[in-house]
Amino acid sequence: MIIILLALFTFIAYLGGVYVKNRSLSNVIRIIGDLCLIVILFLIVRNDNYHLGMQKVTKTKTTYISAVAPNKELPMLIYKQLGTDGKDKIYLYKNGNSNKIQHTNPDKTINRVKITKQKPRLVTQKRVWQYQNKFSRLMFGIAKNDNHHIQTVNTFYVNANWLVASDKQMKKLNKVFKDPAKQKQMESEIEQKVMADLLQAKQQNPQLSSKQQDKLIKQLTDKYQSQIIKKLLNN
Amino acid sequence: MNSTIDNNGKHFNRLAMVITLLCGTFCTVLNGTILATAFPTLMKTFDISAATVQWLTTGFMLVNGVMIPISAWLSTRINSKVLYIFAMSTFLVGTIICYFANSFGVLLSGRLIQGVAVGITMPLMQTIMLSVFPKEKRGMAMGLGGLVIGLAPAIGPTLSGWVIDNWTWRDLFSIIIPIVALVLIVSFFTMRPVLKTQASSIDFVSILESTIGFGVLLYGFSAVGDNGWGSPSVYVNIIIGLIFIVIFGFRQLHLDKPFLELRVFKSHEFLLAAILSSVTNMAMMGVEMILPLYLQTVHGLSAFHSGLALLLGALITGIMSPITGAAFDRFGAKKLATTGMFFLTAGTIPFLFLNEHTSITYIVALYTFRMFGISMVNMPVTTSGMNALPFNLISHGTAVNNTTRQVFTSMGTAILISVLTNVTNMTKPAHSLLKSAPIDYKNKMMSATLSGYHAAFAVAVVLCFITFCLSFLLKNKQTTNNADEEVIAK
Repeated sequence: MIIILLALFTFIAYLGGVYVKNRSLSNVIRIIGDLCLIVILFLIVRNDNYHLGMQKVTKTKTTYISAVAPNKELPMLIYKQLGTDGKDKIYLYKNGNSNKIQHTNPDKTINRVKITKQKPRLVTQKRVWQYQNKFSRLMFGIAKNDNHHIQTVNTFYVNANWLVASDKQMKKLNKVFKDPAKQKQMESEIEQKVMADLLQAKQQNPQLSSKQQDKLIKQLTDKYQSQIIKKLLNN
Repeated sequence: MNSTIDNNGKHFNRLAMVITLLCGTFCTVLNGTILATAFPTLMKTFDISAATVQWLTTGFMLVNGVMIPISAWLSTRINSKVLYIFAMSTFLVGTIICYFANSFGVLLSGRLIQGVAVGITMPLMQTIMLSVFPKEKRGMAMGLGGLVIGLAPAIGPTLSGWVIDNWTWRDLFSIIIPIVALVLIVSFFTMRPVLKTQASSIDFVSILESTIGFGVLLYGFSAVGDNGWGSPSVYVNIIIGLIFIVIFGFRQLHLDKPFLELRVFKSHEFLLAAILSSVTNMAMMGVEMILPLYLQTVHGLSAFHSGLALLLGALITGIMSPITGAAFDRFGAKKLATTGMFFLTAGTIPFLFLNEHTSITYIVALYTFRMFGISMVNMPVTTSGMNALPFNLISHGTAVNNTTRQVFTSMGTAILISVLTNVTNMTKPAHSLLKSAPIDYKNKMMSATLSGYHAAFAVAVVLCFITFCLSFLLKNKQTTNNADEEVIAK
């Protein structure tokens, strides 16, 4: 519509300015035409640069995700670091039970990772410009600038046992997992620590049932396992 | 009333001659831009660098620019039928050489031969159009000429993109050959000696001075894009060119029968017209050059698609040119030029606000709006300048006007391109950022590129605005009066 108006007033200003013989009438038509043209051009620039007639709309999408890493006992959320100052990351994940690896788009995006007790999921909040109403869509819709991206916030909700690691850290970890000697050494280290703690717990509370003991062992194993992995990742 | 009398007192069909002239000139002018999208293919075919392949266009433009001043002498010396047939045959030979070229050297020589022909046909067409139509119809006649000069270069990139996508680069030439051959055959029957000729000896010193002067000057400007103003290959050439042009000019003012009559500038209206059309052309060609760059680097369009985006604007100038020409005949240049310059200036300002994702629809619309304005200024203003000259100086006037325009246009293009490059380089982020934060780097690089474009368009806006103010100095409907006594005739 704005383009039609531009063409219309161009012709009015042209015909009025050039072909109308009566001088004052010609000037009046021309001035009105020119003013309208200035307004139209101004509106075009406002729409293009400042989204005149548009409003910010946030679209929220939730996807259930599963971990990319092959290790079932240790689900991992992997990211790839872009550049050295750590600002931009691309996260890798899988959609539900699908095997295809998905990734986030780093442009104008903020990524967050939160711990949840529910199913792991990705909540994408995409903010876009959309036309306020039918009138503004009619005016400027021809520019095809609807749904123009402003910013995306990706929030990953993962369980407490998930490990968030970069692709480089994952490679380091995989090396350890594939080396049986190191694996064994790690397992025995964990076992020793768990046993020591268990002994201490038994001394404090001799009436510990075997069920409670089992639970404690599992808790302690998880604790030391993640401790040891964190140590591995950071050196 | 299409029958007119030629120099030999014979009647001839004016319409048939005009059509022959327009078709032939269209083919020749088209060649200025037809290789633009073929460069990557040619670089691969002949295994040459981007700088080398550029010579196919630069060399063509240089030879063309050098020929224009000479064309004035040619058209007052040689019977216009013979001259046109000679030019079109030269062009045909050049095109055939290009078509069969099996090395870059052969292709380039074909292009240079083409350039010689275009340097003759373009001013010759304008001179003939101004001569065979009575003064009160010259606007329309020049408008038809403007259709050719304005439309052909704008179609070039789109046409060549389409040809390259579907056939080979040789077909860029093979499609022209039959058309030119046909025009050549027809011109034996339709062309007539319409321009008055007189025996005058050729002044080789003038030819040498003008060739060196304009050739070196134009080359200097064309090198700005690659080397910047500070490079010796730019400023040394520009200075040498200017020195030779001054010597050339001095000689012309002291010759009994000048090779190129510079006294046409004594007419204020001719001078004003030359300035107006030069500055308008600077604003037009500069933007015509920069906008495709923007579309390609920022929006990632191909050369073909960026040409397509500008095609509507070119078509509008083509359609409007004869219409505004007719309007000029009725109302004079002032109303057209002031209205047109308002459109051009107002239509350039939005380009200062281009951003990373400016809608292509807006760009096409605004560009078309600008071109509408240009169609109201360019040819009408040129015609008004020519109308101020006596009949026997029209060929000199055409050559002087075209040369001035060419020099200013290449200067304008050089200025815009260098502003674009310098501002982009000044504001672009440090290279280390690419390593530490690539996304930031990308965004900052984009905003640096955009500031470059904004600065270049700002220069264009200033040029447009100056011309807009100058256009008020034009006269309204000119009285078809005493131009012949008013000026010059020694």
